[in-house]
Amino acid sequence: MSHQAHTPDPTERQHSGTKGKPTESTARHRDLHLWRLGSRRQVAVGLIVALCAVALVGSLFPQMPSRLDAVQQSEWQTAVRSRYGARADLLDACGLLAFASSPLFVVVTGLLVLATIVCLSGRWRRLWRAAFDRRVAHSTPPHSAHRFVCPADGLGAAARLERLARTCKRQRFRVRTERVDGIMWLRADRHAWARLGSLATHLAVPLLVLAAGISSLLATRHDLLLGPGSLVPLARTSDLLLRLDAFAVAVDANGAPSSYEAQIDLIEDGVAFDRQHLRVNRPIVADGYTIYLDSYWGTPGDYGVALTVARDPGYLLFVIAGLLLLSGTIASLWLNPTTVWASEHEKELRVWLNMSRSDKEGRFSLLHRLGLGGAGQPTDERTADGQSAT
Amino acid sequence: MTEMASVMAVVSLVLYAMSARRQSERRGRAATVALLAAALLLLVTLVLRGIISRHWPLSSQYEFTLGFALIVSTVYLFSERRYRDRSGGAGVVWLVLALLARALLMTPQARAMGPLPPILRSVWLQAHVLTVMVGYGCFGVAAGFGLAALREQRASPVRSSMARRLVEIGFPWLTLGILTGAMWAQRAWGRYWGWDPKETWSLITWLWYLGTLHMSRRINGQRKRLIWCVLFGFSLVLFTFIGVPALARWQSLDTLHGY
Repeated sequence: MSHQAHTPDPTERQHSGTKGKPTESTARHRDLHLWRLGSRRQVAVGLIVALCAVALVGSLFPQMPSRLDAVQQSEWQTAVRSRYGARADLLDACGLLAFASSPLFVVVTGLLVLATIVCLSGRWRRLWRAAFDRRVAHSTPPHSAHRFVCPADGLGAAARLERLARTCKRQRFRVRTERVDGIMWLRADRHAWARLGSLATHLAVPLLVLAAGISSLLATRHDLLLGPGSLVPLARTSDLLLRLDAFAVAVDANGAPSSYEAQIDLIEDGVAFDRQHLRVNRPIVADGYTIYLDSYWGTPGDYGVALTVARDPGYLLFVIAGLLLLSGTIASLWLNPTTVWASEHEKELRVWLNMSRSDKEGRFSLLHRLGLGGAGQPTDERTADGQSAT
Repeated sequence: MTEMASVMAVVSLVLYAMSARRQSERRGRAATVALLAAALLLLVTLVLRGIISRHWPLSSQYEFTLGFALIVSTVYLFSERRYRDRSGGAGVVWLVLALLARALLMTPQARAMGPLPPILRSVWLQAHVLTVMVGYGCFGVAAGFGLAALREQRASPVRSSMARRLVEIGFPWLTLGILTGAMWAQRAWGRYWGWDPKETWSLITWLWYLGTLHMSRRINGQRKRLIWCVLFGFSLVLFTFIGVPALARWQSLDTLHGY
């Protein structure tokens, strides 16, 4: 989950000092500057901290529940006024009584989503290529690869390359070899696909916010009281009627209800076409609405139940985005995509390592595990352009 | 049994402190064994509670506190074995002791075993509690290693990278915990997010660690800053766990996390 600065086209730099009337190129340069700013990791961290701060302040005050009708809203406001007195108006004006829909929270969330999209658009091509690149021989290894030169021992470079291939296979690398211009190349990948984890997490952020937006705008929710024998319409937009057919409650040794279950008849055009068992934590679905059992009232043989009827078109997207986020964080944080390239030369074996997460110790540790540490001390050298040998 | 676990944790704390002061491997090993014994006692306690009450033994504040202490000890023991470093032991055992003290100071009613209310009978709740706890445990051990690193003149690169690695391990668990909690809320109440104080603080904690992970890749030269982020993150975890119920009572906030 890293943000990288986008490198502008070098031809744009010559226009950066242009003074006077803004030209098309200076405007483009300004856009590029804004683009770079949006993709900077520090900006993302700053926005995350700002979001934390707004949520922290908001969590100190009661939050107005969403989807209240006018009467409920008025009751809630009266209760808050009785608690906070004149300060209630100030808190309300500052958006602290519903911070999640306050302009500040919405703007910061929007900026974070924007920064995530900018970051994603700047990196997805490179990450996709890195995850699915299968070229064995290369003239320009990735900038992030570290180069090691292992002097050939008694075995010779070709035999060492073969031994390296075997060791990589044992270490669950996927190994490919290719001979180009008389030079044998080896490429070994492990968890290469996990480089897409960063893409998944970044994609999940706007999707989660979109799901939350859909839920807050389009979800419906209302309570129903179903007395014994009474017929109650499921929702305004539905022709279905509900009827409580039976209700059973089990109590524990202390007399507290340990479980309860309602049998609900679903009626359409005067005909009961279905009977469903409704329990707490086991909602039923009818006509696109989900029905939840909240509580019950009454005496044995004369029970009524309180139900919640809800429809949330954002939930499925929330689950998909959540799973994307989870798989992305696991791939990014628990796996360490690693690629090893090696090429045989007369007196040496040249090796490049590209590991998503590694320090110098980690790279040397991998080299030792691959049997490249014993023959001689490898020279750790970061390749800037992949051209220089030592 | 919780009292015995506390005694073993105290023994472990003394031995970890002595081992650090005198660089004694033998005392270090004894401290590890004492902490392992405390963890086993906590595990037995929870298993017995589960068998007697016939439900998942992570359903009340008391059980969650014991489970948290067990997970912190277990994660620490695994990291000690993996990294061969006992420097975080004292800090982690302090945390375990604080959790056990909290559990022991709870009222008999809070500690009593009883049948579960119907709302708590959900596999999503069990998954939610367990995954959140593993995440919290990793963050707790990361904070323990962070404290050990802070005691040194210059923050040790090894310990700060251990702290970062533990945050990397814990973060997906916390993500999974929040997701399973949202799915449980959807099945129980028909809404996956309601800006309940506990939900808000979980989000704050999650965001904080997200920021820490974004920052940690670029602050190799500023290890102390990373460690402070890890420590502050764990203070958010503790506030979410212990402070939010108190905040809800103090400010009369509506919460569905009162179990």
